[in-house]
Amino acid sequence: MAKSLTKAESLRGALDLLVLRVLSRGPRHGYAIARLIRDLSDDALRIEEGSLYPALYRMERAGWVTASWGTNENNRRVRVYELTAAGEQQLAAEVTGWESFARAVGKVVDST
Amino acid sequence: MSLSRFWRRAIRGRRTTDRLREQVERELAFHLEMLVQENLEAGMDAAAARAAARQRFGDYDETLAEGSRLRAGTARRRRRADFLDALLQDLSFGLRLFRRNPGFTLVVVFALALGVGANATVFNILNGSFFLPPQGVTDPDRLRALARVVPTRNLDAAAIGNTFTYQELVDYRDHNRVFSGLMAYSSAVMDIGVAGETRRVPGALVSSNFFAVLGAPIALGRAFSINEERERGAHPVAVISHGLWQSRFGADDDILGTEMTLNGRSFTVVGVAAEGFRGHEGWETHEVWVPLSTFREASPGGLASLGNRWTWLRLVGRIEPGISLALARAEMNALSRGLEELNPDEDRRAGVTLAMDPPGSKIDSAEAAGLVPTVFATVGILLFVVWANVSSLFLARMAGRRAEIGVRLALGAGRIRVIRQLLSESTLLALLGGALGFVLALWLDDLLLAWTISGEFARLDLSLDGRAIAFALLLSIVSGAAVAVGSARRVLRLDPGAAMKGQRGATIHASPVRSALAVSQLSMSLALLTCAGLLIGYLHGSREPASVVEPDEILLVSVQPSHQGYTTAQAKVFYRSLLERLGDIPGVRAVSLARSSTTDSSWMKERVTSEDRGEATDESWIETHYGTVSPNYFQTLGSELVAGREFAPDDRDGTSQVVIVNETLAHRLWPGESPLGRRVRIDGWGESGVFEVVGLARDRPTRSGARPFLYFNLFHNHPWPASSCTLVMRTTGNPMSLLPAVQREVQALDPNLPLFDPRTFRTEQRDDSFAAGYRFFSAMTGVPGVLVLVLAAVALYGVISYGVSERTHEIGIRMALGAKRGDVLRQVLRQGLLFALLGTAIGFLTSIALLRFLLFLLDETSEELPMNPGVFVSVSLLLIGVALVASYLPARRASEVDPMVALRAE
Repeated sequence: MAKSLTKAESLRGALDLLVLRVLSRGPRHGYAIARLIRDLSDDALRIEEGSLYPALYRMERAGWVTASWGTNENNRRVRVYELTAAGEQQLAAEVTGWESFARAVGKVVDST
Repeated sequence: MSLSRFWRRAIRGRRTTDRLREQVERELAFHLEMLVQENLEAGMDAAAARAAARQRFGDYDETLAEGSRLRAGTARRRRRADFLDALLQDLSFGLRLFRRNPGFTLVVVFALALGVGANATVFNILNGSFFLPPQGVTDPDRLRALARVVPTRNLDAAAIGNTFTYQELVDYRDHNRVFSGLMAYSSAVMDIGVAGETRRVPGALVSSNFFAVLGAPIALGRAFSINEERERGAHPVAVISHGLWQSRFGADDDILGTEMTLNGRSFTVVGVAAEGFRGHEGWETHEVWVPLSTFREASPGGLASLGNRWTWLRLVGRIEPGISLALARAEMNALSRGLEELNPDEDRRAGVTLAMDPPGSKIDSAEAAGLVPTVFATVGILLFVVWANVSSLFLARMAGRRAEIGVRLALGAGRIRVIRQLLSESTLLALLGGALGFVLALWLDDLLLAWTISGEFARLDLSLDGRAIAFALLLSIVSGAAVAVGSARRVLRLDPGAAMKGQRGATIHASPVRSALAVSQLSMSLALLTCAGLLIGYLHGSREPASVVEPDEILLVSVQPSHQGYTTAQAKVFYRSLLERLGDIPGVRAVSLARSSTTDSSWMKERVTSEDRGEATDESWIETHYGTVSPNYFQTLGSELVAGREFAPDDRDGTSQVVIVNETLAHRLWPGESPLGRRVRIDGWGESGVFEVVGLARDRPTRSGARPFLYFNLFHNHPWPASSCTLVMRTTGNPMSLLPAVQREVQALDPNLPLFDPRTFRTEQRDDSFAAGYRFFSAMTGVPGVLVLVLAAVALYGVISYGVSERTHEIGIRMALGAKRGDVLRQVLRQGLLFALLGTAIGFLTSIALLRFLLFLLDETSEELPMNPGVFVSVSLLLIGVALVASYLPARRASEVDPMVALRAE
């Protein structure tokens, strides 16, 4: 990708999707989620921390994730988020939605 | 756990938000640190690293705040879900428990039904009579009655008058700026004749804007025009109530224009009021309305005019929206002063003011105002007693579940959780009890009203009011909490370890409280029942004047010839013929007439002095009540004259005027001498105010001792014989059975003259409004008294039973050492007896105080009404009997204890 999509607007729509997908790989705390998104996208997607945590809390309220306090390898207290069954369903829905969106955009871009 | 720790934990709920905020801060801080670390590793210096990292959070504080909010919302939602889950669980648990202990459930539900029901009953009555707005009136809060302040002769206080002249109505109506409308009315009872049948109907004379001001719509036809209000004689029109239209006119569609007789004259129906509208006064109902101009026809004998002479109208106005009460009052005061200046000679126009409350809704007399808190106090006490009893039942049950609760607490259930379950159980029971109680209240209301209130036109609309339901509901919920308090405290103090091991712990302390509770209930029920018994005794004692023989044989029925336009002379002729005809009816042993039937309750009085004593000084005038009777009156009542003679047919206009005095009056005027032949003078009657005494009557004992009394001759010089009269007849057999014959004779003389209010003398004595007060109070003490007795029995049973189970071990030892079953039984019964005696002693003292208080409310002095020992003794015996019965079951249980079993248990 040529441009880095750091603009909050473009990311926000996909934020839930990204977070849920990351969590589907296993429970993580907030920093680790952001880090993983960055790494998986080869540094193209840098989530704004100011949006990440509200998003996490919202998802917790909606019941898509649960959170609990634990300790990391350095014995620091961290809040670890885990995907719930409802969260998995939500993830599937978001993926489907994203794919339809991408297809639609592709059709317009590829049109002659 | 101590109570203070409990409260500290509860308050912690408020600090949850702080805690969550801390958590969010910590989470963000960790992330921030990690970012700083990255930046440092990338080569930034400390300050730049920090700044860059922080920048990634956008507005850090905003993020923090939003985060806290979201977390708090989540926490709330979760708490709510947990709460509902727990509630459902508690309820299902509770229901299961009730099915397993149906006895407990029933007793609790019924006890609470009693307590809540009694309170709801009282509330319903008071709500209906004093606080419900009259039906059909729009926005009654904006209505105010005018009142005037007049100086009295005594100069100490100003009296409040509430009647005005027609001219004043016009003046105030036309010149005020604060009322959107000002109407006038005057209540009057009228004889309405429809299709040959004449009956008395309560109604009112009203101004043309009466219906408009009240906002009471006319369903059919119209109200009155201003001409109809003003022009004498030309407009005999009437508006009838919806109820009257249905009952007397058969809801005839062609009602408008129909004629009916009103006091013998022909009136045309021009309108039918909306359904349910019966005037704006709660107690006083109107079924027919006529214009003010018809005062001579509709209210004959009343002092009224369309000028400035007589004050006979009550004025009610609707305050303009946006004008405060204070402003309205000031305006009206100013207006009245202005009018007074225009007419300085009329002292009647002194300060006009506005009444505080909408007309018809306030509690009218001081005694009624004193009644309310008393009655509420009584049923309130009953409710507390119920709470105490049910609470102790809960405690007893909890004692049985101690081990189970200990286990639950040990397994980690919060105490709050346990208490919450307790609370939901008790609230469920309380709601059931409250619902039952409310239904009970509706039924009880009808019963009470029928028994205490009499009178033709007293009617109460006790519709199901939202307020009444809300009251009962609130009371139920509060009851649920109240009865759980004691048990809740126990749960807080419970030591799970000890409870599981079955140790009894600190329960010994509870007994004195419950014993005191049982004793206090016993004494209270004694006090209440004793007072009730005494009041009923007074009722029968005092209303039985020895001078009236066989009051059941006396028929009383009233006529009102003035309504049909009889003059005084015509009325006298009518009465004479009537007396003759009535005397001829088989079954009538004696007949006479009286202006008012029970002369005891006559409130008409004059100042009387002896004519023979020369100049009358101020002290020689005696305020005397009087009545007007026909010849044969005393014989009809069976109370012979002490001396002299009754009025004779020869005593009539033209012969010298005669009176009969009673013993008290004779004693006051001529102590030690015979009054016969003496003469009395009536103050203010001038030359015609001198009478000769021809008879001496026995005193009729009244509640406040003997009063001086004077009897005038109906057929002689008396101001108003025409207006109404009561026929007094002694009959053989059932007096009411002669009513048709009497009616025939009356109608033979005048077919338009209705009879009304037939009753026996006994009923008359009973229906004296004063008697109603006695009966009301005896009901208010008697019914709760019985209820408290039942509850006291339950409480006593609980206490004794509890004591027996505590001492099972001890009883076992004693029986093993040789005590016989009979001994044990007697010992327990003796305990119950002790409680009863203690309750009796305390109850005796309480009843004295209570009786004095009740008599004070009834306006009596207690010295004259001795404490009837018979009542007290019988109630005490009842109490002892009940106590013994309540103690019997536990006593038998104690005597059946198997020593072996008891000794083995701890």
